Amino acid sequence: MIPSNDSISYQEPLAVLGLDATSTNEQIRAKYLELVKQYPPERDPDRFAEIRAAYEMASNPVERWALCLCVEIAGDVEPLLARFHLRPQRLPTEALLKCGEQLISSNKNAS
Amino acid sequence: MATRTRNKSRRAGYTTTGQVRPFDVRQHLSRQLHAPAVNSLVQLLQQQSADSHDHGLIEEVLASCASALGKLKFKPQDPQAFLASVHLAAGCVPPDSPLAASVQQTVARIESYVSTDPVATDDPLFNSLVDGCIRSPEFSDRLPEEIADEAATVRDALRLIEAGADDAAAKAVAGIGFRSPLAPWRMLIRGMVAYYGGTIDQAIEAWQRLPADRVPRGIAQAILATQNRRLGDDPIPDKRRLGSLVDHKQPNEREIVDKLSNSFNNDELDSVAEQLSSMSQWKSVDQNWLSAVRDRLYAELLICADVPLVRRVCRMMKPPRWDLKCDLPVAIAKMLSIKDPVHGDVSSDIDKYLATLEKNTELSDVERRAIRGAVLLRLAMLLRQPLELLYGKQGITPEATVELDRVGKSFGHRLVVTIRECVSLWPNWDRPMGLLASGLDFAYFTTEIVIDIHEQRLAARGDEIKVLKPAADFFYFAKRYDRAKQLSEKLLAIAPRDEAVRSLAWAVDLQQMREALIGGNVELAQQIIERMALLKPAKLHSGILLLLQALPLIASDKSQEAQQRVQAAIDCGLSPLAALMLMEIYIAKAKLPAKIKKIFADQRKLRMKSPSISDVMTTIELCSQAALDVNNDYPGRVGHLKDLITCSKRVLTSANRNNWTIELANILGEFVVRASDGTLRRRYLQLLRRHYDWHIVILVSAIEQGPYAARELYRVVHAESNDPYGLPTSLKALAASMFEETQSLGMFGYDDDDEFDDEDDDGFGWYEEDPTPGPKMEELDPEHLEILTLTMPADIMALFLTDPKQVEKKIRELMPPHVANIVIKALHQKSEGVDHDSIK
Repeated sequence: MIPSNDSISYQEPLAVLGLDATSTNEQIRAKYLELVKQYPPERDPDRFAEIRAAYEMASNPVERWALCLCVEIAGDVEPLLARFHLRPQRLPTEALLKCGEQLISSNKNAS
Repeated sequence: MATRTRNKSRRAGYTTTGQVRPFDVRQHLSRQLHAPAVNSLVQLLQQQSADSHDHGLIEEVLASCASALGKLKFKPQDPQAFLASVHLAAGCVPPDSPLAASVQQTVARIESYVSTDPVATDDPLFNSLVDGCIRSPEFSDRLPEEIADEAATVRDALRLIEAGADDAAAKAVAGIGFRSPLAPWRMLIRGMVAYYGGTIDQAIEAWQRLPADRVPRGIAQAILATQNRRLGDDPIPDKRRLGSLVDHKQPNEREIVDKLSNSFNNDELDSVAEQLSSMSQWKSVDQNWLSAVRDRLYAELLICADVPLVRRVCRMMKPPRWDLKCDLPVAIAKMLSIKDPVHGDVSSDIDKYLATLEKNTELSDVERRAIRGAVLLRLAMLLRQPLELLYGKQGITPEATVELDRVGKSFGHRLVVTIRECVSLWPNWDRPMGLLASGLDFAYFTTEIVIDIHEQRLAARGDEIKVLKPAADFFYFAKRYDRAKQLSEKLLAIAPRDEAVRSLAWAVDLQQMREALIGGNVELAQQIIERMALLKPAKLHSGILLLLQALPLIASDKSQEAQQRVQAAIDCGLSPLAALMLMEIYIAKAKLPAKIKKIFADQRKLRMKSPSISDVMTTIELCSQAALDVNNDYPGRVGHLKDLITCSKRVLTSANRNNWTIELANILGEFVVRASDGTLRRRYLQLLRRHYDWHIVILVSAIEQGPYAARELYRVVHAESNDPYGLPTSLKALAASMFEETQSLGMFGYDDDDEFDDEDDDGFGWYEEDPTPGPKMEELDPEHLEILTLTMPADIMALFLTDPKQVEKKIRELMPPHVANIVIKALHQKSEGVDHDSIK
């Protein structure tokens, strides 16, 4: 069983395989075999190596925890920070309508 | 009472006498109170005589009303009364007034706006009315019924989106046709669904098609402005135009990331914790991302030696579910800063955490075991670092040497014990073994534990090459030749053509052949040599076998025949100098009679007087490894090393620069790097600095520069694997460890932000004969320049002499205090004994 987790860093190898944190070992293996068929080493060695590395890490729980606890294995923090994204906030309809009208009206005046 | 009445009148905009002033009319206008403005205008006009009417004011009030009506900003409650007042006011402008025409036109516009007749679709007012009735449904009575219904649908859809029911909103507007005047609203809503769903680019794509004169486009502009983004070429609306939406403006994502990144990179972990803590209050932050960064912060704490800082950060951050009290970072910080890893307190703190982990019911069995393994790996990585720093360091005093050795052993012991537990927990996990694989001094380990680790792995996975090969290597280096032999045979059975496997088997056989000779079993030695003929690595000269065959002959007192074998080896192309030195080494290691060795030594010394480049280079290639191997000493090793250095100097002095091929220069470069001889290094750089395999030249010069060589070493270490000027494989590890050393020493370390470009090659110009310093030299202060000119060995000493405080600080950061104290004490003692003038 793959340890369930709420952290993105653990999901990275799974993301390479196109799976999520709830995937079982059987699903991981099946997906890996499917991807290897799709990207055989002789045709796309780089992609195969990426898939292979992701599979080895995803199928081994201790490797996934090592990725979380050892900064040397996790590597640079920048890619993680670069994924930062603020979800858009719900804006009040009334304020939007008022602002939209004002902007169009001022655009018309300006033109 | 009078006061109250006066105040009431003022609030109503009138004087105490009930008279209306022009000021009052304008005040109504400024407050967008159009109907009261018209009423007060009429009152004012009635108060005044016809010749004192202000026509300009009449025109201003009526124009303002027309504009507000046109923009649907107001709708008179009693249209008839309002129109009557308008006509009354307009009637006060005589036909001969210059403003009369303009006033009449304005009145006509007001009449059309106030009218209750349906507006035609081609009327310029139509679209404004459609857009306006979304916000103010009271205007929809002049629109056709189906349009009014669609407007109501749009209004509902907007409310649904605000409530988060995006799908319902999209479904609600699906019925609005593309030709409907409300089609832009449908497009706006579809874009909003995409926008709140996180696909902003898709939203922008939809919104870009919105007509420029319709309110939906203004709304789209306003939404994007909260994200500091623009719609197509439209300018980002000014903050003042956003009204109350300013409160919803998103912080700049780039700034947030940069701030966090700086805090991480500068090890300001408390600042990271503070930022994460405030971000956790934001609804718009992805909680998964936040959790991942929090995990990363925790991982950073696990390499931090500052106990107060760790405690501070732990108080600020939400603890992870596998360490609910943040015990582990504090325990590790103590280990790194206070005591050595086998000290009771530190061990018990870490063990206490591991015991708590076992009781953590929030984790599954697999998770607990996996976390334990990962924590042990973390610990092992930390334990390995001091060993790397200690490697090759010797104290000045015997006491310091003993203490360094004791500390090294205590770290080494805990390391191997930790790795053993990792292997027991996860026999299929190879990563911990990587920590034992290379670059560490076996003197720091208890060999028995490492043997135990290998045996455990062999028991679990004894048929895998990646388990067998490291085990066989270890047994060979630990001089357990019998076990190494068993494993190498197993390896040969699995991978008979693998060159690394064959080389190992050859080396094990060579050792066993020597042992047979030492034990007087000449027959066995001969049998082993016959088998070795089948294992000979492809790159090894065939003459070597002939030399080995000479050894049993020497042991059998057949020195004449032995000489013939040596001659045969030379005849088949083996360099005479190399053949003779190899024979000396073989004889010494097999403990054969010294008098025979002397015969070969005498012959070799004759040949050394005027050696050829290729002769010397072959000898270096075949013999330098044995001559440099302090751990496998043999009688005459030091003399051999000296002779190799002498020969190398001779060929560097006498040979023409053009005779040096890349391969020859590389062979010598490798020896120069390892031999630690200043004169040899300088002669090499003097003759071969233009040698176009720059990397090896850089490596040799890096030894001269010591810690200042970080930039050059970075380039060498990170060269592409297919770089034609790349280092020989054998030197890559050495270059990497030299680069790591420059990094650990801190000063002038390579900074990732300061990427090199091709122009940086110019910095290499200071190796040229031109004494003018290059750019690299100019960036150092005079003291550093002076150190660079000294022929000091490449160690921490040069840096310490330059800036003792900085070095001391760095050492204290990197090493546990007791280790740091010893190293610093040794440096002080050494620096006191340094005669600076003599160095110059």
